[in-house]
Amino acid sequence: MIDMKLQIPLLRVIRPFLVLLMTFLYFTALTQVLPTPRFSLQANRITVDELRSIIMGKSYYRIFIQPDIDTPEISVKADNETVPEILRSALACTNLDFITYGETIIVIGLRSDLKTQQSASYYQALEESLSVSVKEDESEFVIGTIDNLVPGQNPVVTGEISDRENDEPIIGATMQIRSLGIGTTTDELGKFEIQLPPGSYSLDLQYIGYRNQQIPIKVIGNGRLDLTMDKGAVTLDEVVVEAQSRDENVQSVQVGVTRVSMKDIEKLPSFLGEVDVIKGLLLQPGVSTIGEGSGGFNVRGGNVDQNLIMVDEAIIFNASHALGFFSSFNSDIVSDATLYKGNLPANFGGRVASVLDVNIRDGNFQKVGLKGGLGVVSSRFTLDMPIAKDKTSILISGRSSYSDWLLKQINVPEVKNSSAFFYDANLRLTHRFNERNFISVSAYSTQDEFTFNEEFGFDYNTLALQANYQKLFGNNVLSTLSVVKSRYESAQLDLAGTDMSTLDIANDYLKIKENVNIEQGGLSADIGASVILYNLEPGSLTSSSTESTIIPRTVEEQDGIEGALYANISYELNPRLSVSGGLRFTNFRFLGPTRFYTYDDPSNPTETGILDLMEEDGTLHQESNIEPRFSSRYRMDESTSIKFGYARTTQYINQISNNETPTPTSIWQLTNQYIPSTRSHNFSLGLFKNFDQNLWITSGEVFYRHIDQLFDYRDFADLIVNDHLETELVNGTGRAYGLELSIRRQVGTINGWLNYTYSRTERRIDEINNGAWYPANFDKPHDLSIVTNIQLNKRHQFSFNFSFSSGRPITIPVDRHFLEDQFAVLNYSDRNAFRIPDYHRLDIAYTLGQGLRKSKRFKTSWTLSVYNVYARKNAFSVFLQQSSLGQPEIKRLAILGSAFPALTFNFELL
Amino acid sequence: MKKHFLSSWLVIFFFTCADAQTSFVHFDKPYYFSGEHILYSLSLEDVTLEACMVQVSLESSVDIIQEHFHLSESGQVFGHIKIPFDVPSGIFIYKARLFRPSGIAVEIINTPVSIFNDQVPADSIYAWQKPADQQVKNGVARISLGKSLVHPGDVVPVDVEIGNANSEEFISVCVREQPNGQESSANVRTLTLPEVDNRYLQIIPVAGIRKVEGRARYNDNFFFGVSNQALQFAKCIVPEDAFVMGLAPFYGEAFVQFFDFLSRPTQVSIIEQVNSPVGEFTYGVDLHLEKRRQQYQQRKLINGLFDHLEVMEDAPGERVELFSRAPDFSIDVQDLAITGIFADVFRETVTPLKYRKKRDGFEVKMLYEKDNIRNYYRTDPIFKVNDYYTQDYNYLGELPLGDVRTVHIYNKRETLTQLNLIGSGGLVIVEMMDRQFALPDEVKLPGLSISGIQEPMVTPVRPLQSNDIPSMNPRLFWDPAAIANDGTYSFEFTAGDQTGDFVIEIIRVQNGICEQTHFPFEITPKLNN
Repeated sequence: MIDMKLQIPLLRVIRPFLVLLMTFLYFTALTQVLPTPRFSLQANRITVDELRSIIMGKSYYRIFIQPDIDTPEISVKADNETVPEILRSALACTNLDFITYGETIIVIGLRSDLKTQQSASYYQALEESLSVSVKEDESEFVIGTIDNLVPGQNPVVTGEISDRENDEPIIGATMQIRSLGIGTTTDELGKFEIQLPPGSYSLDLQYIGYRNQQIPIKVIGNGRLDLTMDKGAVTLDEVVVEAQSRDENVQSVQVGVTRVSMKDIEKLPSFLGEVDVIKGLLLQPGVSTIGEGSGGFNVRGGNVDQNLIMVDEAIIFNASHALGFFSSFNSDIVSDATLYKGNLPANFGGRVASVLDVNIRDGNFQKVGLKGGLGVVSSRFTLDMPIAKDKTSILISGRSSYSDWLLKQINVPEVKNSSAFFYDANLRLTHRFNERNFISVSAYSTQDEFTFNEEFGFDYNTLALQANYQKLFGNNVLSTLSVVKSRYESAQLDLAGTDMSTLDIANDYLKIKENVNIEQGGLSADIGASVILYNLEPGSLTSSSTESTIIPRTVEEQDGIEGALYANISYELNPRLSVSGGLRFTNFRFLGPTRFYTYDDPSNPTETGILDLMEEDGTLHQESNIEPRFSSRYRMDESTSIKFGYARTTQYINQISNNETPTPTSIWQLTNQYIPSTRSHNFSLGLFKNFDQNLWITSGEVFYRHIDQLFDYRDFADLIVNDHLETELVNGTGRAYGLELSIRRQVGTINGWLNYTYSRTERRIDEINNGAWYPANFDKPHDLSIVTNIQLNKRHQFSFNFSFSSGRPITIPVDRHFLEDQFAVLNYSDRNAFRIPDYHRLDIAYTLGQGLRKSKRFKTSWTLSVYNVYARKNAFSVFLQQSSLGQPEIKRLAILGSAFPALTFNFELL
Repeated sequence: MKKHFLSSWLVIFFFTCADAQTSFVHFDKPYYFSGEHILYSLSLEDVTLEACMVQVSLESSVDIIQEHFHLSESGQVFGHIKIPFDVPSGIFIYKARLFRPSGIAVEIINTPVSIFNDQVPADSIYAWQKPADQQVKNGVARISLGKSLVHPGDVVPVDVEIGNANSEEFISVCVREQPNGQESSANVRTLTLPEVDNRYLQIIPVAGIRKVEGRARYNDNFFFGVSNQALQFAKCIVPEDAFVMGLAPFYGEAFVQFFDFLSRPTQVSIIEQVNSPVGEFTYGVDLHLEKRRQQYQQRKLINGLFDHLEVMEDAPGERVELFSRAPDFSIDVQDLAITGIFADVFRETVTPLKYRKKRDGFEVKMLYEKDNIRNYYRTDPIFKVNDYYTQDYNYLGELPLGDVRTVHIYNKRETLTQLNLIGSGGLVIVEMMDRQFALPDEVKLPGLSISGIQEPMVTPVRPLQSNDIPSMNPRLFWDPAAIANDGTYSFEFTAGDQTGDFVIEIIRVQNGICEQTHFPFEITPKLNN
């Protein structure tokens, strides 16, 4: 310890001497040398870190290793050498080197880094970027640090654009740096990647229905930029700007794709106030239905069961409530729905006609949100909230009907004694481990109970559980692993009489799918595999009363496995020409153990040809198919493009029905040794043209679809609990062709669309109509829909919807003859030789938005809608009935023969 | 290893004195390299005001490198200047100023500082200047080091005892590397401190030139400054073109916009500071400077490898909120069931703001009520749109309503008195839907970026510690505002990884005399580690 206390006068006297003393000591010190340690050391294959520990244990050196570098194993052999000598020889054959600072500090780092002489601007940038990757301050976003800047390459900025309110990714948002003329759009996960030279820019962010943003950014190095957008009312002035980037229909390669946003659907007039995704789809060109109260929809001449309906990755067998009056998707939780009308990309398959891909949104990662509505027949409620902010969110939604009170008001005894109840519920849990790893777990459950006049009824329900794990490798590779377990059960109840019984069917499947998406420059690729294990219970009939005369019987369960490998690549060859092509390889196996019949002519099984009943295990039938997919887009100018597409598709599971429209208990049948898979060729050619800076969007598409091995049933077929169903089926070919025209104005005070489709859907089956082409049940040559939305302002909005379609074909008796002059036997026309009257309907809706100066956080609205305004009695079918005079009369069955007003109260807590 | 000692009087502080006015500055190092921080503490010995505003700048003969305001309490100021990495080698002037009503600063410190750019070889640059013949007492404090041998990474306690001390006394403490060097000499100017105007000692002065475009000139009229930060308002009278405006203190940078009382188009610019020429200094040559330069370059390289460049952390200063009253009237524009332009809002709603269409544009007036009589303010209201102020009513009037989120109106007299004369016509705050929305430059009131008070430094300053990162900071401890109780002060510092000669330095200012004590010690490597 040294003390120092000098009196000031003394200091002044001795200071010169002190200086001399200090100077002496200084020069003495120069001659002193710290002893240099020397070692003898021999070690093989040790890490640099271990060598560091050895040296630091034996000497005064403090050794540091540059962080985040890979250090190889080294061998050391030293005989009485200094530490620098040891390190020099040990690191000689590696990419490492070292420098010393002062007498005691050694830093080991990459040789290239240690030799680099950085400029002053490097240190300036390093200092600015220290400890932050993205810094949001009042003025600009700073992206990246100097360390992750690769010399000679522009920094890569990646990120995600999401909705500020609910954290949902925004698909197709455009980002532009106008000063550089560079831009990009977000992909289906809301992610983007863009290369920018270092510097400060103004980033223009646009998406329809959202507010434009100009975001100042400063790019230093590779980095991440996650942004949110605010929803906003679109005024006409903004439209011009936003619509300039709204040319996705012209730009995209896929043809025959309809993406429906919930914003559009919510504007439409709805039946009894229920906003419905599928009812919205029916207004799109190429999509039709048999009529009100029919489940499902038909796309470009495909049967109802030829549409693959998916909720995320779960396949839904019955997506309708109340026998088809409503769909089972709660509109409040659907983020978007995409319908591929024939030209499916290779990552979709399993159905020959179309894919409806419905995506459920994630819960809010930021704050609690509530949404719901109270209607005359049902109410819905959605709660979404973060469990751990920015990490984990939950979304719970439910919808339930209470329509019995309405049925009780109707003065028809049969209806008074009827009841209809349904509910659906969704739960979705999403967790972000970090920016690169996400997982979501969801449950989807629906239930329907319907009875008519206590005579018959249907109970059916769906439960689908799924988990999706997404992992981002690098900036360009996204892997998605999905596991789905689902069960669909349906029961047809006979509630009265001597045939009181219950018919149960069930479809069970487990699906595992892995998809790898690669985005690199103008190249986009999807590679993946999926496997689906089916277990179907095609029918079990049980008597439900002791007085019932029904004999219980059960049809054999069916097991099958459908595997698929696929690859789909999209590439922009040049700004005019883009192509997308893919291959899907599928293999299906019908598995035992099961019992089956053998026939004298296996290619044409008939009841009279049954030879034996056998039981076998293993693979009873298998087949493989290669499905090429191709589409291309040639851009003629900024606002015009021509597209062509071709797709081959195969379907291994079919719904068998002999009604006009499938019922909930229409059974599903797997492909087996007697029932072949259904296959189709799909061709599309389209011209897409936008006008007035993309304000008006028009398109014209022609399509042709050829379906092989299409099913129909024999006359008077018995399909219920039939253990040799193949004997009731016939197969043939089908074709559909048509022209779809569309004019659309997306935004503005008055917006909407006009779609017209001319199409024909025909079948040819040897056993029917003597092998001549005949129109399918849902062949409606002319289909027109006009939708007009008038948004007077934020408070008042009117919507009109007019639909017209040709009457569908029908088979009716045209004559009768008498057997033994007593029994009249009707002579039916050729299959579908007549048509029911044309269908047309007008719906209107008025929405009263939020009131003056109400809380912005709690939004409410009232919607008054009238369905079928002029109460047209549109025919669902036409049938013969004997009049009181004994003469046959043609009667019309109208499901909804009057106007249906409805008032709905909607609320949303943001 | 060579051991180096330096004489205890080596330059670490400078002072000026004239008559009874003496101010001292204590730097943490005798010279600096580009990219380093200059830490300084000022003692305004004879400024008896409790609080005053001091402007500190580092200047070359042609340019101001950096300048800051400090709010001084009890005559103590401490802060830091970040030397840019690309500053050239040379002698720079460190200045401290107070202000007179004319806006011309009174220099209280003017002293040279040697800065070397490490990219330039040392043989082409100067060494440091010699201190003046100072009124300095040496060796007045007794320093006890808690360890006889100091090794890298050691936590070393230090006790300081000061003679003739008051019960509480400010001292400035620094533990740093003791540089090598030869004797050098320099002249330090002595400056007088004339009487200052108290009114200007607690404001941030903005001195500039106002130019009125195209109209006849009116002298002696009001000129206003408004800041988007903390809703600042200030006014001054401009006798001719030059003006000095005092802004209420704020931290950091603020964009201040100006407008004329008569709403005439104006341009503003800051009065350029007249830099003092660098004085005649005599220089010595430091034989070890080249080695120091190379060491500094190596230190930068190593710190770069570890992402560890020394950055001063500023304490978050408190934002000065001058105006926090709730608005007298608010409109949520998006809730109105109307479409159209901004001016339509005031046609459809009953507010005190009247926005009327005239033949050649819009006329805007604000109503107020006094003694149940309603009347218009004589002067025109001012609009704040997002972060910027404007009085271009024609532009505002045509804004699409869909772009506007809310409108807040301040019209009551008692509210506007808070806004000084500037708000005498009323204030309207417009929030746009797009938070990034910025008014076009031609619409905005003219403005300047003004430096406010430097946020207080977190003291004591110690080098960042981490086991995985070499600690090679030449400054181990810096506390310019240490308080010695009854003449004693204890602290501890952590020795870095760098071995060599270091010094503990204590500065005290008392009765116009600067007292200093140097205590050299050595950090030696542990031989057996």
